[in-house]
Amino acid sequence: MSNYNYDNNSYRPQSPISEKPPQQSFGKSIAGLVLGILAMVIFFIGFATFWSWLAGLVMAIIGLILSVAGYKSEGKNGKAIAGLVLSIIAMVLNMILFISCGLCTLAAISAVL
Amino acid sequence: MYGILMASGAAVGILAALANNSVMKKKSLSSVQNIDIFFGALYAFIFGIIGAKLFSIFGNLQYVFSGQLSLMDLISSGFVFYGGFVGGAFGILLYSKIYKIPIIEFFDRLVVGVPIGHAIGRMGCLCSGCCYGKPTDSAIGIVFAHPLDVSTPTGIKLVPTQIIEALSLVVIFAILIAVSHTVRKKGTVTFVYAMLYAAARFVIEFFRGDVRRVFNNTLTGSQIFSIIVLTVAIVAIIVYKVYIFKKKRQPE
Repeated sequence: MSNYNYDNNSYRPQSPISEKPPQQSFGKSIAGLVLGILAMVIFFIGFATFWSWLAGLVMAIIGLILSVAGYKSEGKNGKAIAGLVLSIIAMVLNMILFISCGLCTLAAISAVL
Repeated sequence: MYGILMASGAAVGILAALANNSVMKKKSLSSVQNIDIFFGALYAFIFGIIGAKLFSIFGNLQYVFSGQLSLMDLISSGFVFYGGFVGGAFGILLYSKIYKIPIIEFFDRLVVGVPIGHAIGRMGCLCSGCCYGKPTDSAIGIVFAHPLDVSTPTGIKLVPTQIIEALSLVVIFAILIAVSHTVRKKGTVTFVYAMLYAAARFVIEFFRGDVRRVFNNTLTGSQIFSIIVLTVAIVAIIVYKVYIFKKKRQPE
């Protein structure tokens, strides 16, 4: 039989396991990742038009800036790195086609002027 | 091909800046982290593209007002390097302000990669036929048969200004690498690049056949900008030297 007298008012420190660590926010990293994914999707299914490549390029640029901000402020995390990689690839792919399409337009402009 | 070479040029420029910074860090000559070089280069690239496009748009706006071009033609037309130069500088400045990197040293580390990336981009101009030179009879002249730019004269020898500028940029790149490892004073690499490129561009523009000239058909827009860049660089060096001289003369 136990001789312990448990006093319900006595202080019992909480077990460390039950303390929840503060949730870290990865808002910028996630936003950058989402935009990077969207920019890639637009490149592949954007109906291969000039405006879709321009939209993809703009989205990739914003995604890149947000991923960099996320990496720097939220720490080195997978979401920021994934967002960086996808945004860079999407930016390069959309830029190549945007510039190439632009050159065709430049050629046509030169013919007119 | 132009887009691929431009992207490749950017990649090579960034790698060159990273490699140079890594070597300098081993010699304790640089306090900038490689990750900041990478992100700063991305910022410079993004804002460089925007700046180059904006310069091109404002340069051709008159054709929209005269009805010769539509707005979409204007947006999809080319890029101007000096616009990229200004935009890239803005991007680097923005990054250093946001993430508190020492500005002058940051510029010095990043500017090393610019000439080699630009040189590769110029080969894209050669492939597409743009930025061509004046007609010539010399042995170094090149003939374009089927250029993408329809305004490029075909079947006649032209001065290979794209190749000349690319070679000049490779030489400038080698000089910048040497200067960054030998001269300790912050800002030197940036000033050397600005002055060397402005001087090279000023001379090469005399041989360009695709540009509009102003002031009684003598100087091009890029030559005027080169004069401005050279003047600002020389004035900045003089002001800095005077400031240092006065600071040393002040009693303790």
